[in-house]
Amino acid sequence: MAALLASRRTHPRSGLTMWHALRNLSRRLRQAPRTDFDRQLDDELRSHVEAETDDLIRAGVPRDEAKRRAMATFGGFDRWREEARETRLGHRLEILGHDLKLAVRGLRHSPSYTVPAGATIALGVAALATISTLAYDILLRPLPYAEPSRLVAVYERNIPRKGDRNVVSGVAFFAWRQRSRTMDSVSGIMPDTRVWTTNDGAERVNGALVSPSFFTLLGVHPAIGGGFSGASNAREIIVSHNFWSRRLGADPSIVGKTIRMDGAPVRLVGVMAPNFEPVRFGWLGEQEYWAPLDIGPQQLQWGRFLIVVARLHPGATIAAADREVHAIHAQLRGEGSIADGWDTQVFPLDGEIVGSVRGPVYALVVACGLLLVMVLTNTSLLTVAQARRRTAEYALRSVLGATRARLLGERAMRTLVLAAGAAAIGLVIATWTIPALTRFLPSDVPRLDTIRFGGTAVVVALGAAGLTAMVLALAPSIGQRSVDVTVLHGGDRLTRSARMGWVVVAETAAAVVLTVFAALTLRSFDQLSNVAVGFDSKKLIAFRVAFDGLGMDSITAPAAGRELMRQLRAIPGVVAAARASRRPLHAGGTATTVTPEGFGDKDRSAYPTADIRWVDADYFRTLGIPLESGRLFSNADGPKAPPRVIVNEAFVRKMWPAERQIVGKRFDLRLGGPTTREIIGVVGDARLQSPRREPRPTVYIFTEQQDDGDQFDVLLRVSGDETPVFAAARRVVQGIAPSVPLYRVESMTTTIGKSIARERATAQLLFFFAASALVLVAVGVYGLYAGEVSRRRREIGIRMALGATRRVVVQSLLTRALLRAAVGAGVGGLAGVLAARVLDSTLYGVRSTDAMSYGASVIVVLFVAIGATLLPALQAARVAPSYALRAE
Amino acid sequence: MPDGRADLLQGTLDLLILQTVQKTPLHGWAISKRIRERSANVLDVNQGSLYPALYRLEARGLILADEGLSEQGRRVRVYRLSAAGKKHLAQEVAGWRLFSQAVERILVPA
Repeated sequence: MAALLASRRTHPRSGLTMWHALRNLSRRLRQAPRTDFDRQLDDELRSHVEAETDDLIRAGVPRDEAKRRAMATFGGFDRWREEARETRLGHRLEILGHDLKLAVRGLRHSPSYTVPAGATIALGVAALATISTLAYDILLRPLPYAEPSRLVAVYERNIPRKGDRNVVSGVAFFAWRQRSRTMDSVSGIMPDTRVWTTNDGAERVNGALVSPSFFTLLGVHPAIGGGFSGASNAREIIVSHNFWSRRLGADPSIVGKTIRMDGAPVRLVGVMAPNFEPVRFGWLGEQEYWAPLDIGPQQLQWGRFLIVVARLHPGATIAAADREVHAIHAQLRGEGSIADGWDTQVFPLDGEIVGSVRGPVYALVVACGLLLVMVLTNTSLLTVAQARRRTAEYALRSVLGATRARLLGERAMRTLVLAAGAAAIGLVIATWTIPALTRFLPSDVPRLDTIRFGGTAVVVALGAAGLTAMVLALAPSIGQRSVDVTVLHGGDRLTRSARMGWVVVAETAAAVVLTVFAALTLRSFDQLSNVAVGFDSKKLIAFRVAFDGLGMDSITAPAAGRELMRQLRAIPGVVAAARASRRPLHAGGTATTVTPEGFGDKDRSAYPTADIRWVDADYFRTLGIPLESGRLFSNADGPKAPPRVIVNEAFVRKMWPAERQIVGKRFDLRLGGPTTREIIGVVGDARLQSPRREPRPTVYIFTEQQDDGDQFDVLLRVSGDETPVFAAARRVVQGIAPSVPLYRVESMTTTIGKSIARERATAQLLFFFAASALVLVAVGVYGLYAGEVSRRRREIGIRMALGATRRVVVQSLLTRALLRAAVGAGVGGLAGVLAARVLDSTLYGVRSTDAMSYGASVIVVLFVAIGATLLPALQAARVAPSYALRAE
Repeated sequence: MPDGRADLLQGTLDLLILQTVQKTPLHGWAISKRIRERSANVLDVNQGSLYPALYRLEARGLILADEGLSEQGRRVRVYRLSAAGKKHLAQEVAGWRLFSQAVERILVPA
């Protein structure tokens, strides 16, 4: 109706006779759906005519003549009636409502357009909403602490070793706390684990020791309970909401009462809110409870072990805090309370918590953005094709007077309805994909629990829908100034798809970038999973026990440990068993400086740090770490023998790179007790921290010679199935000490899998995006050229009739496609080099400019693009020359 | 102006309508008649322009329409100036004066 009105307006009925006008008027007045507005207007008009007639009669004009003249002034009756109508406010809404109906109907009647376009947009929006939610909730949403921008992490740093982010000594911590003016409060944190015993058995839970002021510093309070009293040596504990509801039966009255952990009574002084985010970075792990950290004379001897979090004074900058802590350290060095070669670093807390995932998340955001570009180009192609199918209709209406703006408005409404509907579906999909993504990601991704479908997804979907609607509404008008009315007399337009050529360029470029991302992360993941860890990780299982609980003392604990190993070796299916203070591929552990023999108390910071591991005699055999020279530990190396150690090759390279005879050499190691150690053997390098970290110098100490405490990892080499061995091991431990739980029970292949889980997840997600990109390229390019061939069928027929061979026809199409795709691939390659820099920090063993990844990506994308052109090209070749004649 | 009639200058119709309904509320036909009379038959407002203009001015809140009866006893809309219209009219009049004086100065042979 709106279009008909539009057309009527362009045909002023200037020459109507009075009769016509009257008949017209009465017909209009009788016409069915009359609104209040129409009635009012008609009344007004009638009165106008009457008044005019009366006036003319009064002036002496005969009645009939007066009537005629009065009516004659209404020449363009309909026209100005519409004009009057259009000035009304409601009119625009009326048109809008009308367009809406028209748009919905139009979309319903062309499912071959609506379904693929809608599905593409919906999936694009779902992906974008999901990844944006991930990015916002992890990286951008402020930490849920009071004024999080004032929170910082403070580290020590070793200058000669060019260290970064070292944990902090008790001395430094106290000095910062007392002397700093830029930091209002300073808290230390360190990981902790305790045994939680129930009737069903014992269980290890992870928590943290924190300075009593820690929660005040964060500006969060327990949801129940008053928090730490602050009294020194207070046996108090705050638990997570999860701990409280799972292990304490969500009983509010238990707060303030005493519970038992590690077999000892502690007073429960608080339960955190369910949405409390534990501060987790560095070597801090999961936290289910928090106990006050006491740094006494003993802890001051521990070396460096504290994670330090501080709140800046209002107005103080990080740079100022950095300078000040620097200066305090200089004082400490001057006072001789810390060694030379150490200074400090201050970083914003949020960066410390989420910094490790920034690269991959940004890569995902970039990937998603590119995917959206491809969604837009592909749906643009569909929309243009759809508009072409309706060219005749548009031309007819344009001839009948519909303005270009009117037609554009209708189209805009249709794309708006399409985009909004598809985005809504995309949002529904996102409510499912967002939780699915959080389950898919490895659990050590920071702030993973906080990722929720919410405002971010909705805002992003709205934005994407708006952008899509706009692009799709404008796409068919690109380079098309007016409606081409030649189609009305059956003209077959001999146009090429030159205007849409940019689509091929854009799509191949985006696809190349996405494929490069996927290729780089896959290569990196491949490198990581094939890293030689230095020991045989297959059929090797590990668990940890701690004989430090109930009923254990310095006599019974070592005895229990020996008995445990004896019984474990007897389990069927266990080929070998060993114990170690810490299993390989487990970050952290003791490390200290090694110096030449008799070095004394001088500045040691120029000497290397070595990881220290306490192992038993079977350790190297069980893990399959090769002995390079000398011998392994034996019964001869008892407590009475001089302190003997085994070192790894990295140690040798660092300490004596030029020497060949290492066995028998001595060096100093400060761990309490005698300092000088003699090397009896050199073993191969094993990765102790993670598959990513190069092996560090390592010193192995014999457990029979120097006790390492009562917590240790057990490693079992199994011959067959792992599961029954785990069960048997559990029974063995239960038999020896019922209150001792096994924890970190894991096969080493699982450990390796977990330690590269983020890389795996990133690679898989980016691979998924790249695969989607390739599908979009294939569909887009195919659609473009297939449409072109079908439109140019007659032209091709003429050419063939004039002597062009099939080869020429196919060639011309393929050459053009290849050229565009090649330009796109070139652009994509360059863009990839820039974009892949977000991955720099996460890639392992492959540089972000890796030529192989780029080459492979370009080849794959070109292959897909050419493959997608092949089908239309063959169709073109099959056009019979006679088609040129038939079409007329 | 050989036939003694002038075409309305673009934009002046609003000014004329506002001025006409300033003192007394009038219905559509009366407005056109008043303009014709006051301009000594020089300005003849086409109905095709008048009603759209009236509805437009009403939509902009410059005039208000009341239900009323014509001399023939027909239900009509009687238009009167709103407060906003009054302000707008003052501006328009000032603008018009400035404009017409300027044009006049140019037309006067130097």
